[in-house]
Amino acid sequence: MPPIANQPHEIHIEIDATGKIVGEVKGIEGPSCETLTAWLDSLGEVTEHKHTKDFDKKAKIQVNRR
Amino acid sequence: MSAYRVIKSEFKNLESLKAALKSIGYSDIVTSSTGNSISMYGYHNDLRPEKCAVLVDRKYVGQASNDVGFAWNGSTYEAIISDHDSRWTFTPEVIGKLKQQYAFHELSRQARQKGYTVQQEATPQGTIRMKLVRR
Repeated sequence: MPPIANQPHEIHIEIDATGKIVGEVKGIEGPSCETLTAWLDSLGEVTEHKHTKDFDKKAKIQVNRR
Repeated sequence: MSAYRVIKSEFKNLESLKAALKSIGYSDIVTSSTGNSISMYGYHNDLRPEKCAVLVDRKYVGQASNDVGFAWNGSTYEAIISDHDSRWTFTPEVIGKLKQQYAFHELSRQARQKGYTVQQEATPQGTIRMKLVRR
């Protein structure tokens, strides 16, 4: 299984008129998605950090059969 | 989806700050390569005690305006704006737009460095939506 950063996924961002950023990962389940948005913290002061219901799901593992 | 973050933008990258100022209409910007060394002047051409690293000359800020500057404090660029200009030209709404543009430019810069494709759309409500895609 490739490293999570190389798995297909999207990060959805909204920036409001005050400069507040909300970022969320789509396409990857489980706690390992945390590492994909950690770099957003460098943009400023983190005011909220939540886990959605998919956070507790196990990551799906794709098995390629030859 | 599994985790999300909410972040208040702070001006940390000089190039993104310059791009953001240009996006809101201030393209004639003076910057210093030696830290907070640019002198700031008031409406009466009076020398102010503050110094900055990024300067928007008062002639571009507005009529009867003072220089607007951004000083590096070791971790972020802090805006230096007179009381007059914070009420008439560099209002909280303008600063908000500047932060929005800064966040957009800085997110785009870092996302591309990390190998993402960046898609963007503006909404009627004034929010910028971005999609960072890794295929």
